[in-house]
Amino acid sequence: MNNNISINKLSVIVPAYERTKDVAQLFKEYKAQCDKLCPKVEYIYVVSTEQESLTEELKLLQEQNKDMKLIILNRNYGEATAIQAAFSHCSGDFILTLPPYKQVRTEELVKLFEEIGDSDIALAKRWPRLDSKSNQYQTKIFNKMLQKLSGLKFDDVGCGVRLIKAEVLKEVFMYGDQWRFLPLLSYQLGYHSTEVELTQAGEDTHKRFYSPGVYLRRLLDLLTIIFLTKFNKKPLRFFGLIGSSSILMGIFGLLYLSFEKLILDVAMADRPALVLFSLFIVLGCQLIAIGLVGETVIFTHSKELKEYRIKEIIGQNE
Amino acid sequence: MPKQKLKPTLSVIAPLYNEEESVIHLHRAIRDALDSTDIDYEILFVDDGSKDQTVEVCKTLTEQDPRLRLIQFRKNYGQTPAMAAGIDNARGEILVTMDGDLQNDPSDIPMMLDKLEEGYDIVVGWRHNRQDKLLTRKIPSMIANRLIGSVTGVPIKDNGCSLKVYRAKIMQQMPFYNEMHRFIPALLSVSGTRIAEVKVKHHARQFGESKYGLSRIYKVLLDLLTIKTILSVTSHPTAWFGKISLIPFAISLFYSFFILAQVANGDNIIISLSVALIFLSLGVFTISLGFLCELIYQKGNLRIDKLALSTAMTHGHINSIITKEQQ
Repeated sequence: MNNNISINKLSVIVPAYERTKDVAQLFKEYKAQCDKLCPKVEYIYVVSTEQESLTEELKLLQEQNKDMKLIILNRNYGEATAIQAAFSHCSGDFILTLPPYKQVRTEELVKLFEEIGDSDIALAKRWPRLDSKSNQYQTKIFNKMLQKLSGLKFDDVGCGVRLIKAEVLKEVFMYGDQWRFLPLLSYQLGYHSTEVELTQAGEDTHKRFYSPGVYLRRLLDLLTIIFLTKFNKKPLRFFGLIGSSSILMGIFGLLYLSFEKLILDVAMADRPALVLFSLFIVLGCQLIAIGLVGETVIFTHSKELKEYRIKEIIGQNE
Repeated sequence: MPKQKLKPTLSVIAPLYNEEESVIHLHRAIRDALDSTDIDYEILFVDDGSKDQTVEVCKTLTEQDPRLRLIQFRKNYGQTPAMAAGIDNARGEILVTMDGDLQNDPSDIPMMLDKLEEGYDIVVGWRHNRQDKLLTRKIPSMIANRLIGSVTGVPIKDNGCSLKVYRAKIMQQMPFYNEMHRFIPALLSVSGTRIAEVKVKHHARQFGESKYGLSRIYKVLLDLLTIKTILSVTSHPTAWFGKISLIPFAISLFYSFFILAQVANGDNIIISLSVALIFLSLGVFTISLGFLCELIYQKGNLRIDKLALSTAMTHGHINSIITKEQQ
């Protein structure tokens, strides 16, 4: 049993975005473990009507289990939205999110509760891993890039097994595919995450290869999240950096052309390089201008955005 | 022990980041400076996610002094958010912000309050005898202040000085985020605020490391560009962007003459034509951003006119302010 934290009620959220072979069997496994962890547990499944057969199976399952709620969204909005929808219908003080297929050995879920300590989020890290090297490399590369860009060290943000204090989800706003970035988004609000190693489940070991489009989207997601977490109140710092380097390149290019014209007497007016460097300058100006528009957006909404989060006010209680 | 009233006159706000050594001295200095006056005051320390014993030291201080409150952040957010938290939670009618590292001297506060009473809305400190390194601190900051003054039209000699006194009614309505503490006078000037600058004492750091470096220059430059845009957006965004767009239009026009000359010579004009068109498009792009900013300002929830009015109300000077706005 957990000896570090006291939980009154645990809400288990499963976003059923992907198919698993046997939904009922997995639910049974999850339930067997979670019921041991806390006396009061509720289970919430989120599914979209786009997955017809899965919806039917879950409806059936819900009829058999009174402690299970089923939320049916009429479109697949992505994991993050599904979990937030489920969160607004749950009442636990701790939330355990579980993926719709087995990612880790369910017997080890208890480790999350043991090791969360003072943190607000316990993230499962699939370790030791049983799947192929290529899968592991994909995880590694993505997480390393995330670390480099964000400066926060997480090894496996792709794992959906997470134990979260309810107050975190109340504050964090996520949408679409941002579920994996929860630790970064919540860090911004002053919540801390720890990673806990859980053995990867045998069911999670199938080889994963996606189309190039998926990888491109991941990369864009990554950049979006860095922009949103690091530059959310200073867009000009972001656009200004790219913009001014583009302008500098253009200016150096033009200087070089002028040098050639004045010293070496190479005619400038008919060189395509002139167009290229002008374009660099124009692109830079446009980027900076976009940054300024971003700053205007922030400024005109500055009274509703609070940059800080207070942990506690000590003294002078009225 | 002095008892704390619910609404003090003065709130002293100091952000703290890893100041376990200075906080006791700071607290004592503030008390020494204000206990001799008959001002009813409170002290707000904002702990900006310190990693050392700052919070523990402050907690014991709050037990001894009922006029002291500690706002503890969940993590480190920076100086401006820390000051913003203090301002948002202050109960006084007059606010004082100052550094938490003993570089400002609280004994200047009574003098600054007197200045405020002369009919100003904000009194900013000027560290005329600054105790910092010349090359890395004083010269960059001198250039920055000149720049800020000429760009914003509010010539303050020392924008970086944290020691400032404001009327709460005005300050609590002011947008205050990012690293904007440097631009408070400029921001406030939008609403017709009256600003005074007085010389204050400055001490070299006694404890800990200086927390700022040279890399600020780039940031200050970008912030300055932001401020200029923001200030013009509140009055006339299309005019500001229209003004900027004159530059690319001028380049484009220059090239058009050049093209005419080339045509007369029978030269190939394709390159010059491209350059002219590229800059023409930049001009159009810039102007259209002006319209976009109009839209953003209109849909946003920040009303400078309301701010200006509340500034005027604090003085009973509504007429004079309105004429000022119209000019």
